[in-house]
Amino acid sequence: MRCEHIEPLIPLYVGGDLEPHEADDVRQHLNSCAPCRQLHEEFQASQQWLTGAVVPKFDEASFAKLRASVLQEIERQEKRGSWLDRIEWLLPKWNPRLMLASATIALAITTGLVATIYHQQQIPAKGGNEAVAKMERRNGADLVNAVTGRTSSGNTQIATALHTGSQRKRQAASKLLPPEAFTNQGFSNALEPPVIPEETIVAESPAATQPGEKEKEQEMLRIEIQTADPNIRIIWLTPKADGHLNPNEK
Amino acid sequence: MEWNNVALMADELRFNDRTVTHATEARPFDSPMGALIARARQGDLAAFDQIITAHQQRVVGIAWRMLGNQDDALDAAQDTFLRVYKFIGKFDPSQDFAGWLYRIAVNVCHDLARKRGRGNPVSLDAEIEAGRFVEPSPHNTESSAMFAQEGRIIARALKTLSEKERAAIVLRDMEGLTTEEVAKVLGSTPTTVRSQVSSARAKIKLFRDRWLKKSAVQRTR
Repeated sequence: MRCEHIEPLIPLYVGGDLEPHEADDVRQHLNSCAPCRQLHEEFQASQQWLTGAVVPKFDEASFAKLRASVLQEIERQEKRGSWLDRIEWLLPKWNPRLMLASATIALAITTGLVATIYHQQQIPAKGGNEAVAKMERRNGADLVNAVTGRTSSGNTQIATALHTGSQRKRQAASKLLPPEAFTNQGFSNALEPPVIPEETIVAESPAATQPGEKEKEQEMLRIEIQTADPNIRIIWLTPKADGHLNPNEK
Repeated sequence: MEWNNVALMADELRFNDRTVTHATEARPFDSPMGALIARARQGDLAAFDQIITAHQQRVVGIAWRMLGNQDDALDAAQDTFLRVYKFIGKFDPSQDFAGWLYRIAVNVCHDLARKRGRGNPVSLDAEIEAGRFVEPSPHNTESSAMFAQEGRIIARALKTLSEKERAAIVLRDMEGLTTEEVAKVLGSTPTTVRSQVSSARAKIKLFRDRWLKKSAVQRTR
């Protein structure tokens, strides 16, 4: 046999892994081929080096520790297993259809709950805004009149003109409204009155009037509006006889 | 009585004994080891302790050669025996228990190597560069430090092999199993094992040749 056929067999030959007839072929070739014999010697040395490797001695203490840790772990797992065994009857048996059905039901329940919670969170806000809008619609005209010093009936009963709607709705509205709604900026357009808690409007405060200005005061209408911000109070002075601003007056 | 049997079995499975004997497991549960297995299947931990005692040295040896260090070897041995206990009820008594156990050990070593990022073979050059080796000499082979050094070098050489080549050569050349036994343990065929062993021996020889060459160069400096 030629060298290229023998060389791949040498690694197996050194370990005794060849069939007898293959081993004979290699042996005969090695007797007559110096390079292959050299290669064979190198493989033999490598094989002896590898098989002569000694695993470090593990002392008995290491093995005792190993056994103890294995047995402890088994006992721990069995204890945990027995606890699970006790409640096993509570657990459903593995059944793909049952599991699929349970998962579907669980998903439906979860979706329903999430939708309900979301809806409930939306209702107060929506309801509150509706209440405010209703109050705006109902009180808008009166509020404009109040600002201009006249009600639809021609009286100057500002506070009473605005006291409509239930207490609950007003509270809800005052809670929901942003603080900006109570600033004087929101009150710039008399035709589009801002939503403000009616109880913050203080009409004609005689205590606040100076004695020297009494005559002027009789001709002027004074409106004080306390916004939600305690530092901001809107004081409006307007002539009582000025009817141009009253949209209800024809 | 049972402890004597265990000692006998341990002798049969002695670490450096090149002739592996599995006669004790030839017939299901008739042998002393078979009886221990039967008791362990019933949850007898004392019996399982004796099974561990009989196989611990060999399992740790395989793990050490597969993984290359003592700590990993002991961890792998622990995992191996835990898996053995877990699945001992599924063990077919007509099969070779030791082969079944070594198969588990090899699988555990593969898992552990992958888990710790050491599953892939490293390049031969990198391994040679990483080592500060001394040349093996017949004059100082008695030195324990030399043995330790050689052990580390061989561990590095084994790292250059693929998982399957490493398992094949560890079982065949270092543990002394026959090609057929290795094939059974690895769930492979004798032809495949022969091919893996041949490739592994060639790589080990190449590693050793280059290591010797490098050591010679270092010595002349």
